[in-house]
Amino acid sequence: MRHLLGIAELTETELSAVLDRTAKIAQGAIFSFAQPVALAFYEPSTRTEMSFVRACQMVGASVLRLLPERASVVKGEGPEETLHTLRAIGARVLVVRSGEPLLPHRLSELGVAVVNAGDGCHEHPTQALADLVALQRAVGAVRGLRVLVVGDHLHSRVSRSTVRLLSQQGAKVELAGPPDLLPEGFAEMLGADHCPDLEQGLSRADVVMALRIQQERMGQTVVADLGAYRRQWGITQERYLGLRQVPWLMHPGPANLGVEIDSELVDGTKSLIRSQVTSGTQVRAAVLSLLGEEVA
Amino acid sequence: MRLIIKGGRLLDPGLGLDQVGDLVVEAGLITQVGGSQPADGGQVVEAQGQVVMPGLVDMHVHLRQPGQSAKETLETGLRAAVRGGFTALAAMPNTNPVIDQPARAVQIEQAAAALGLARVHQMGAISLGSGGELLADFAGYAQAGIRAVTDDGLPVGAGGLMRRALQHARATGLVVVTHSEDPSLAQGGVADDGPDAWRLGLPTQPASAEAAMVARDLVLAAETGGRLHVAHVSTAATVQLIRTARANGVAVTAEATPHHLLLTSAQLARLGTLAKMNPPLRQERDRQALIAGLADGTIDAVATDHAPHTGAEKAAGWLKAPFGVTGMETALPMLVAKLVEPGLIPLGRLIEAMSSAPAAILALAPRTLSVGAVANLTLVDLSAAVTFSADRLATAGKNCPFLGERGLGRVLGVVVEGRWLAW
Repeated sequence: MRHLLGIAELTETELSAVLDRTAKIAQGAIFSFAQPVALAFYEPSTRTEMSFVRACQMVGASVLRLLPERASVVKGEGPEETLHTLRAIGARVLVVRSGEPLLPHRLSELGVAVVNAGDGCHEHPTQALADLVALQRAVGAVRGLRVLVVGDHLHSRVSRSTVRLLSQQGAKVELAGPPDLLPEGFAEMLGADHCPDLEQGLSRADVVMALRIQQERMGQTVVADLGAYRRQWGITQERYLGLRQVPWLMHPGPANLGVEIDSELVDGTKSLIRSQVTSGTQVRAAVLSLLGEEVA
Repeated sequence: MRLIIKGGRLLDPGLGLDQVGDLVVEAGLITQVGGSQPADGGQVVEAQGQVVMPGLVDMHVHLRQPGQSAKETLETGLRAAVRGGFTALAAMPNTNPVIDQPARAVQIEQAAAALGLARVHQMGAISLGSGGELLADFAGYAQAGIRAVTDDGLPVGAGGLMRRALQHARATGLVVVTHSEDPSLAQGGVADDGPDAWRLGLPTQPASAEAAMVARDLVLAAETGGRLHVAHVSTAATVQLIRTARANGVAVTAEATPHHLLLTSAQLARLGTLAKMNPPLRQERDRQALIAGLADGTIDAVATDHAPHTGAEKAAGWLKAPFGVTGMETALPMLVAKLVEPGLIPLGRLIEAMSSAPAAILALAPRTLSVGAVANLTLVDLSAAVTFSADRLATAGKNCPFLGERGLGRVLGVVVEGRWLAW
């Protein structure tokens, strides 16, 4: 694997290698990668950035952290120029998070291995891999599994990456959400089905994943009444615990607690939300160590 | 000064003329069409194998003067025009500063004329600074010979201002050229709303952002009697609105660009920011509607919306890169290869849409091969294939979506008001 840009670009072989390596890392195997890894997070992040830092430690890589608000970015330096600088300093892998879709793809042509840690509304491949691993650990194979993903799909890179990956792996994925945040044709684009009725979708789901409402990406306030959103689309205690068969619960975080998901459910017995974070760190360590073998 | 164009195929769809023969120009006017003329006493252009057609006019060009010479200069822009076969072009006023004063417009026209290349007709801004609030001096524009006004690049958001612009346009004989976009619908979207853009995570604008604004402007044109020209039509709904309005007697004309006629949002991933323009590339059904509109005359003219930018600007990514692509040098060969050659648009109709139609909309000298007409001519070898590459474009703006494509039609040169310009 030379880069991890998106689920769209990930080959079956690369996917198996990542899953295989992740399993070994989870069992305590050590894969060392003694090359510097640069983290350039142009957008704020808690779990992704921290878990990449932890992943670097797990594989023995030294970390170069770019803090855009304190770097030459504020003097107008473009990401290409920054990457050339990081490369000259010694970075062999760049982990990049940006508001700009396809920035990682642009940077992947400059001689450094690039990991996409989220590019605008486009893709978030390590999150998708983390979700897949967390799910596989809970249920085994995902083939035939009924997964319902609820919320703001239009602005969600997680939807684009995770839904695509789970569909590719044979899960039966359905998408539900408000009509302006899940336009007609969106589900089909990702190989999923559009679920017009949340209650019906929930009643047949093995897994339900709530998505974050991305108020920060909306040019205008689309969800004005968060209470109304919760009533119609929220994974609430009543709605979730009242189901005859309670499905596995997922959320990529950070959650708007009490809006798209009730806080009481986050640590419930069938919640995979913490497990998604743990698997995320392992997946990222696996990805870094695999890339390290190519650039070494 | 006598100019003899020898042995070309003289083609003027407006006259029903299509014959091989000589054409003579004296003192800037066409004096003989057809037959065989003695080559003595004058400049001779050997035109065997060339089509001699009415001079092309590009009514939508961003020359970037004044203030943006990193993107284009008058010289590079006008060389590109000549290479593309254009004898004249209309320059957009969204420069730095905005051309919102008649004197400023005249200055650009004079500076362009001094270069002796294609003729420039400068448009004036509708509102001061294209700020969308205060109407510019339309009477002054008309007196200075300006033909059209536009705030192109920005929509005229306020209906009240557009209404007054149309009233003043009617009184002064100007044409109001609209960049039709409802900002509350467009929301700064960089691509057409649909799966192609969703897949890439791009912010989108719906077709209604254009069509709804055109609907408003058509109502205002009907009410005021002002002449409206809809720039860069991109959606099927817009074509239908214009068709209906014209059938109802509204004084409206329209143009479409080569990129909207030839490309769709399916090319977003392949072209990257070379597919970022406003309005955006639409869906295949929109493209088909544009072709049908061009065929039946609902779309009067083809105009390129030639919008040069620097390589660095266009490399800044989907959100940061500026809107716009260049197209003067690729327009004719690409349209001949992709629309005429497959039989979708007759050659005569394309020539009309690129010469006499835009000339008529802007009230320029008629583009025709008639005795007595001002000699504006384009000479093209329509059997010659051309492949486009950045280093062979004369424009400083290499941001062209047709690089690497194969067009049909090599421009030999143009006659601009009697002067022969080969490139």
